[in-house]
Amino acid sequence: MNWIYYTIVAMIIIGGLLFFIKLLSFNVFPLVLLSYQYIGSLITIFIYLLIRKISFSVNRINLIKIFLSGLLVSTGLSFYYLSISLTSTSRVVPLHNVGVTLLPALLAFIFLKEKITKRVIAGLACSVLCIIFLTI
Amino acid sequence: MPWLVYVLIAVVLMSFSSLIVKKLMKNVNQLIILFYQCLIAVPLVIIYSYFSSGALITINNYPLILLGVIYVTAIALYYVALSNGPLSKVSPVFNLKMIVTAVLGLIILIEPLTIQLILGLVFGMLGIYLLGGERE
Repeated sequence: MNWIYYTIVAMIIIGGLLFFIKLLSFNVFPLVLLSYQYIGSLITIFIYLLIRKISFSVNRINLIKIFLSGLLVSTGLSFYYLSISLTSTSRVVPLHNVGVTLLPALLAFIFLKEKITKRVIAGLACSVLCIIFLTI
Repeated sequence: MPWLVYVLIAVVLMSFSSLIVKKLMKNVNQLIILFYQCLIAVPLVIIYSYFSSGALITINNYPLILLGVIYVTAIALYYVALSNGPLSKVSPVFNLKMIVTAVLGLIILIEPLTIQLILGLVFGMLGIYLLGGERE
């Protein structure tokens, strides 16, 4: 199946999750919420992998890279949640979303040698405009 | 402005994490990557939570673990998409999750339909079309 369908479904799920988290307004410190999120994620993925009998073995170099990416994403998310706790979401969310829209594309161009066509630039520009209009 | 520094750090860390994951996907199952990321993330976020606020997870809030089930499903689908599509396109489309939040706000919270919201949704849809519609 084309990657776009998986991405759209993922986008809908996470968008809905974020909406309901905000709606329910947990009286829980953001990083505690993130801890629960990761614990739930770990248990779920562990059970799924066991059921599907997918091997957990990974060579040492790849394991180090995976742990590094886990360190980066969890630390990044933690900083994001902390920044929200310090100021209003209307300041943090657009800046964060524009950043994680544009920076991976730039990194992909530099390190993965992905082609950045005019259509991709136009798509990125529309994404940034979407974020700006939805958050002003 | 510490919040600004935190957001920028978050953007950089999360973007580099996506880059590492994309590179790893050539050799490692995406769900295994997700598993080990969660494995390192759980203790890290608990430590960050404790040192930033003294807050720790408690048994009373265990239903919050369900958030992790939903979250990991979305991220797993995102990683499947990332294994099949370019980072420069998958990541921006995934980050348009704000569209879902905005639509849910309209439907469930009966938020007003403003010109900004319409423009945001239009640009979001256009962004998805431009990024997702191009043949690789």
